[in-house]
Amino acid sequence: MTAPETRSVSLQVNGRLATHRIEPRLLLVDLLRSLLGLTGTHVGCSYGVCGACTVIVDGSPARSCLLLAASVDGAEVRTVEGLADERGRNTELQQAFSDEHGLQCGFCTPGLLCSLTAFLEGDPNPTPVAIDEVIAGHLCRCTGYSGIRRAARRAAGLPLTAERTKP
Amino acid sequence: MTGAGSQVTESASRREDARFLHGTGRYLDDLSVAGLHHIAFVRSTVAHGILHGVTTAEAFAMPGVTAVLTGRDLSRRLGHLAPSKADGGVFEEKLLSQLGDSRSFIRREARPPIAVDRVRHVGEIISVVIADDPYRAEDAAERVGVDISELDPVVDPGRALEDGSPLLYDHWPDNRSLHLHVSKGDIDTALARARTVSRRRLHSGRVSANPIEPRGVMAAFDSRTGHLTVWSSTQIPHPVRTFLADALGLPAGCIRVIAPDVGGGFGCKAIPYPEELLCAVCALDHRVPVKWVEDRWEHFTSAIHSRDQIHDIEIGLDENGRILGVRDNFIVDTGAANPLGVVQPYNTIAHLCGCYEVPTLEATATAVVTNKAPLSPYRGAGRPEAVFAMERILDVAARQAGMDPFELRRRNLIPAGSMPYEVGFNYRDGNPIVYDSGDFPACFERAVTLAGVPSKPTRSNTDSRGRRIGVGVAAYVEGTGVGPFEGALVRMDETGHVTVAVGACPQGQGHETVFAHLAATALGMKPTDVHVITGDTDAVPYGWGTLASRSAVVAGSAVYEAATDLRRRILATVAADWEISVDDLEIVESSVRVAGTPTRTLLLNEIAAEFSPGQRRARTFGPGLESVSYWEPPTVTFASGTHVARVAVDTETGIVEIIGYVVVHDCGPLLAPAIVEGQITGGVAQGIGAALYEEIRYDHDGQPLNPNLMDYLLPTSDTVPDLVISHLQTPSPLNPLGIKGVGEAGAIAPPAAVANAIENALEDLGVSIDKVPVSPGYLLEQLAVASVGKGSGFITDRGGPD
Repeated sequence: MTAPETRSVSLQVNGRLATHRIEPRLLLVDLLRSLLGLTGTHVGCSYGVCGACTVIVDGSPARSCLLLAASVDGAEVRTVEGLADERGRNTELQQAFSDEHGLQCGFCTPGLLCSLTAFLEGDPNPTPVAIDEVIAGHLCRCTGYSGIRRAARRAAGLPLTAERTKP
Repeated sequence: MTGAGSQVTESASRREDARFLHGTGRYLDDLSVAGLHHIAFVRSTVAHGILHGVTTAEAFAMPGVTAVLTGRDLSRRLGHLAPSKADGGVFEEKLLSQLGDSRSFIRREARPPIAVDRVRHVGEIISVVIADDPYRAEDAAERVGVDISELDPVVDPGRALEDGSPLLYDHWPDNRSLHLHVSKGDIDTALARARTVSRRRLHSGRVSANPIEPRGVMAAFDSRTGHLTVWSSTQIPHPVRTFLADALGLPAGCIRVIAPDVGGGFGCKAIPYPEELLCAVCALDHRVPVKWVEDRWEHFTSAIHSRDQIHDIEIGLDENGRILGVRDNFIVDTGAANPLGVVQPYNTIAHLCGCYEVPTLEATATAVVTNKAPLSPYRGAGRPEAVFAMERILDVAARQAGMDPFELRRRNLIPAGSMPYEVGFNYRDGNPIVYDSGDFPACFERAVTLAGVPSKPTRSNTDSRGRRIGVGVAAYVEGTGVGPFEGALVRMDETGHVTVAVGACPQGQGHETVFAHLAATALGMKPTDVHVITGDTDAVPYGWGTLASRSAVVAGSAVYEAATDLRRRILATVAADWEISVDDLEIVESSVRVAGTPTRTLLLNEIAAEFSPGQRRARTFGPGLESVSYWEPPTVTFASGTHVARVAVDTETGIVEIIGYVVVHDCGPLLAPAIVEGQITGGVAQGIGAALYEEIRYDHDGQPLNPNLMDYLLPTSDTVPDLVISHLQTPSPLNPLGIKGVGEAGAIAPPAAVANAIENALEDLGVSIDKVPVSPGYLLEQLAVASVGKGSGFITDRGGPD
């Protein structure tokens, strides 16, 4: 039995350097969850559809179940655990999710928070339609999305009810 | 104190939110223990076949593999899976004996948790691989060899009933697993008298619950204590413990089942599963802790499916548009097994009459086994199928009688003055179906008003994009808060803090928030001083779980009762001290005082300290401040509601958009309005999925055609509109809080309301919508059928106005 091939990867995760020897096939989501203990990032489908595993890689949202950890060597990664400030206070978006009942079971929530955080950082004055397009990239089975839309609009400083995307 | 049934919290924020928003929730796959191993299941890729053998040597030789097990290894150890005692089994015998009809029966098959010599659906477990790493477990699972010779699969439920069909269970006379027959009055006479009789064949498609968190199990055996702990992403920890104890031959007291944070359930996590037993037996026999986490393919092929009923329904109206009778024969395709037996089919029968006066009824359910994944209740649990059949046939009947469908309903709604209303046969708990509360006409009219439905709806409106606009309505009742019981323990510790433990087991419903408020209100404390434990069999001796729109009603009443009893005991000790009547005391801000006079007070923590064994109050009143309630509802309490959908239909593409949706719902007083509306909204979204997008499809070989989230479409944000929600709050007389359940309500009416709206939009084209989901392909087919003038072929005109 030959030992599996390994290689070293270094990532900045939530502001801390993490260096590990890993098998090349290790997925980013498993590095985060199993090696770093950051279990806030969830796996819902493992093929990039549901969005629960979304993290922020070098400023952009990315499905961590579709990325090999080795492919993001040197990247800066933010997960749901790294969104609040050092004292653990909610971001405006997190607070809005709570105030608007934008979550129930909470399983899809970290992925939505990461996508919306990256989006709002890139576009602080978005249109409601643009926000809806971000949310439409995620599956939530509990909320029916209304609370999520209200939360995102609130965090963006928009009226809570707004003209929506038309298919 | 605040009276029973009053709102406990106005805020939308829940105490659960902080951990979920910061990534510190603990779901099944987030758990670990020292030395954890991982399980991968090898599952059948054949729908129906003889399993000749399983070869494991190559897999066993793979790196990191501890064991590779087969059905033959495990069958003597485990025997067969006993039929579930969860829910269905509790009431089933009583119900069948009450039906007293020689035609009614149920056949239950004790299935092995792992295939031994036969496979009956794609996804059935064939082998268990234990390895030290999840990647390695999957590597090894690929090396397990499976020798199956295929048998003719049974896929179509109609053909499964024909003579000569292959059988799933060789010793059965046919493929029927259940037959239920319920009648009141003489349906033949009623239909013979009718001015119009309308008939349709209506199909509610097969769906999958698909919580975003898949199922998962971790099991560990502690050789020091001899205890087995099983963590499961389940809705029913206590029934799972009973199931494991029976199957493993262990005392229930040696098994602890814990549900950590559960990422959605909707019914698909409300039965005991073979995977729970297999993980437990691996932990016991191989003395390694193990974990299995379901992948999405496994969810589609081995977690339960639901709905899949085909109804042949007919309704007779008199010359005034009053319902004379309804006859409904329906088939349920249960797949390879029907773990909860009568629950889904009988729920359909029990809810068929809905909000209407139906003087005569005959309903017959036939469940059929096929080579598909097993079927069990999913949010709505037989009610969406009933409402789809009844509310569709009302629209068909209205058209045939030349009446407005809204007006037809108005003439048949049960008036508020008739409450409580006896339907005329029994619920599945063996008690007469009695609508205990509600105002159906008020609910209906408010929904119609909020939806802006004109008194004479104009037909075939189009929008600026040329799409046809239609409006559809559906009303429903829901028996909620079903028994047998729920357990709650309320304990005040020596520091004056309170722990509430419930058998209910949340999947996002905010139990911690609501139950803390209920207990705190009863005890005059701050909710933050109340700690809530859910989903742990060691925390409260008996429990049931969170399913069937029951937890606020049944667990809420248990918490209320236990906390109220504790309050009584606390006040009794102080009343004795102060030589004053208990009635003159109150608890405010964690202090007992004479009502209205804050001068003489005693802090709860001082009282609690004196209840430690040997202390002053303990010597007089017995040690400890603890109260347990196992609240048994007398029967279900009926919630009700009306939905109105407005759709835009593109006849070129077959795409339907829901452009407006109104819900008026009556679940009694709202304990937590944001949570109630969240339940309704989420339920409607799932109902929209069933109406337009979701259907598990199998080919002729029993191969699932879309077992993934790319081909099985869950509703996304752009397909679910913001809803207009309004509440009626007629209190239930059946529990101390006056409340009715709301967990499933939202999912019940959308398939009917949306299908009615689509048919309304296409009325002048003669298009008939006989199944959900109304996919673009199905809609284009129906348009084509209508254009060649064939119609649906199911309507017979018996002398109606046209």
